[in-house]
Parts: sequence; C-alpha cells; structure tokens
Amino acid sequence: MLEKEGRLPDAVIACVGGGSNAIGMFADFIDEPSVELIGVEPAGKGIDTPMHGAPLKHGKTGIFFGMKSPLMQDTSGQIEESYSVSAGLDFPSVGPQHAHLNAIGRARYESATDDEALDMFQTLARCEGIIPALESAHALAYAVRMAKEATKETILVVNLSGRGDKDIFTVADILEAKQQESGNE
Amino acid sequence: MSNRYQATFAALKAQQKGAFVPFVTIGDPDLELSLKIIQTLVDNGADALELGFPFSDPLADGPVIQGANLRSLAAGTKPDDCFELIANIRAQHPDLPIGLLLYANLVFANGIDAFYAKAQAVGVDSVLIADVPVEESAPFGQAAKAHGIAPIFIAPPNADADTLKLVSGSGEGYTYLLSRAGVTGTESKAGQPIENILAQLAEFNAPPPLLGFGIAEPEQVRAAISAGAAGAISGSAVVKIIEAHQHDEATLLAKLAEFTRAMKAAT
Repeated sequence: MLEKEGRLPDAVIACVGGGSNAIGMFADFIDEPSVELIGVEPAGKGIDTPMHGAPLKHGKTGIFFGMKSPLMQDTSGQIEESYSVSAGLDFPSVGPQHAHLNAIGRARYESATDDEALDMFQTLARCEGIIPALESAHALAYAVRMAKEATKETILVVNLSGRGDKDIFTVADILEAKQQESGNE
Repeated sequence: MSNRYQATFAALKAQQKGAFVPFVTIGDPDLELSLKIIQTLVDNGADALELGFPFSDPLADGPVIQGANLRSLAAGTKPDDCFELIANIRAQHPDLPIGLLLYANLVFANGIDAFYAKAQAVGVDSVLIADVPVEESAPFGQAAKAHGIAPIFIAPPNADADTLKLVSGSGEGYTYLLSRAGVTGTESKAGQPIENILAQLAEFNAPPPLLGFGIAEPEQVRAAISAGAAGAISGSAVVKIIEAHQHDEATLLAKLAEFTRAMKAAT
C-alpha cells in the first residue's frame, strides 16, 4: 500500500463472524490511528428479526466457549441460534478482541444483510471476474455503501477473506428460488 | 457455608462407608416427573444430590446428558423452575447435601450475585460450574462464599501439583475428582489409578474427594472408596435409565430405585 499509494488506507473493512479474518486484517493497523477499522457482521434476514448473526452490536455479554464476550442469548442465558446465508459468519458470539476494540472505540462494527451480500457476490463476479466468498461479500457490501459517500481520493481496503467457488451452488439455488417467487407474484 | 456435606461425610465415615451421589438434569424429562425421579433417588439411598440446570450448549457433557438437557429445555424448564424444585426437595430433606452442576452463562446472565442469592434461598449447598476453571473462578467463588455456598472445583486427572494445590485451597464442601479426561458418559470408563492424586489432595487438605465421570457400576464405586475417595458420583448411568423409560413412569422409578440401591450397597 505504501509502495503503490504512498500512504496508508483511510479504512480497512472485513467481515466478522467469530472475527478471526478481521482481527488478522486489523492487527497491523491497530496502532495507526488514521486508519479506520470496520468490521461487518451478518444481518441475515434483518437485524430486527431473530435471523441474524450480529451479537457484537445486537447481543448481550455472556460466557461461552471459555470467553466473556457478546452473545446471542435469551433472558435465562440459553445460547440462541445465529443465522446467516454464509456459514462462516453463522456464529452466536464473537472474539473478545473485537469486543474490546468496539468498547474502546478503535474499531466500529456495522452489518450487511443476506441480500446485500448476494448482490455483491454477483457484482464483483461481473465487474472484476472475482467470485468472493459470501462471507467477504458482507465486507464488500459495506465498502460500496461507504464508497457512495467517499471522495475520489479515499482509499478503502476490503479483506477478500475467501473465494466464492464454494458458494456458487448455494447462490444459484437462492437466486432460482427468488426468481420463482417473483414469478409467482 | 452450611455444614451438610461435613455432617454427611462425618456420619458416613463413622459407619466406615462412602457416599453415593447421583446426578440428574432438573426437568428431564419434565418438571413433574423430575421431582419424582429425584425423590426416588433420595428414598433409595442417595447420600447427596448433584443437580444440573438444563443449558442449550452443555459442552462438558457427552451425548447421554446432552439428551437430558435437550429434553428438559424442550419441556420448557427455566432456571427459576429449577430453584423451585430444589426448594421442594429441601423442604422434605433438611439435612441432605444438594449441589448444583451447571454452566457459567446461566450463573452470569442475570448477575452472579443474584444467582447465588437465589441458590442460598432455596437451600443449595454447593455450586460447580463446569466451564469455569479454577484460575478464572474468583468472581464466582467470592459470590458463593458470600452466600454461604461451597464453590466446588474439579481436580483433573492430569493436574500438576500447583493446580491441585489451587483446587484444594479454593474449594469447599467436596472436591470433584475426574476419573479421566473427556466429556461425561459411560462409553469411556473410569479406571485410571487415583491413589496418587488422592494422596496429593490429602496433602493439600482438599475437601473430601468424590470421583465422577464414567461411574456406572457398583464395582467402580467400591474401587473408588477403597482407593480412598469419599464417594462416587454417577450421572450418565442414571440419565440412561431416564432416557430408556421416560414414557413409563412405574418402570422408570422402579429401575432407578434398583440402580440406586445397588450403587449405595457398594459404598
């Protein structure tokens, strides 16, 4: 980045399920305060439905898997099922490192829905010839939202944490079902 | 701390016997039958009880006790129902040691102190949190002691002397001695020699050790006690009987009574 652009990016964006790819991506930038760190959680079918996987912004602190971190849980403390179209983000808790970065305000966390991710999956394939993993497509979806507000000089780095070959059949099935649905209306 | 464990262990020692402690998940298969199951265990010789609160993700348990958790949750059992059932047992058995064995998030979710206050109010004697290691246990241990409840810790089979010392010094009531590594269940049996670990626990003045995990037969109870344990805990073997006969109350209670008597006879 320093070689190509002569400066650090304005923001680094990565998807967050348990948060491993994002923390790897953030690690080298944590001490660079000019670089905004943005994690994107899966909003699934919508944050206001039970069908999401965004405990960091929409869960409550709990203890599970040997860590104290945000958790999707009911009022008794039973762990709830998370949901996302992308298996890699379908997790009811999140790494405590992200909880800490969120608490101290060093990183901010947003979310993107299944539909936004599916959209971005196709857009990147069409425009760049790159099939992104459905997980990474969540990060891309937020980057594109940001890009609409940004100036030409803004540099956004998106972590394409995985390839989408593994997802083509899932996506094909979903798109086909959507087509039939809209055909029936 | 209540002295029910102390009194029970002292009385058993005077008779040159050990303790038989069955475990069940409260609310398995439902609250009403669960109460009858627990009464049957006590009426047929259980010296103390180890009771679980159902949890969505019981990560220290093998398939048998996972099944108990799922049945209890499917029946709608909530933590407050569990406390109510314990209050009921306590009213009938004022001297019986009653321990809880459960998972951290159930204790933490609505406030650690509030949890121990409720446990104290219904007459719980001890709490073992399966997914809190002794090194991380301070907030739980302090709240337990503040409410007169014994914090129980696990002595793992491969523990070094430092860990055993910490376990011995942190726990009250009894020490949960693991027979082996792994999750609960009778698929893999207890069987490692425990004499060495028992000697170390004695040296560190640990609360009386009860051997658990993989205890399914009277012979294992006998062996544990003759090796020097204060008794044995049996969970999956009890829950298997519940699983097999959950739809036939009379048979279920008869089989549980028979099992409890056989295990107690080996103490």
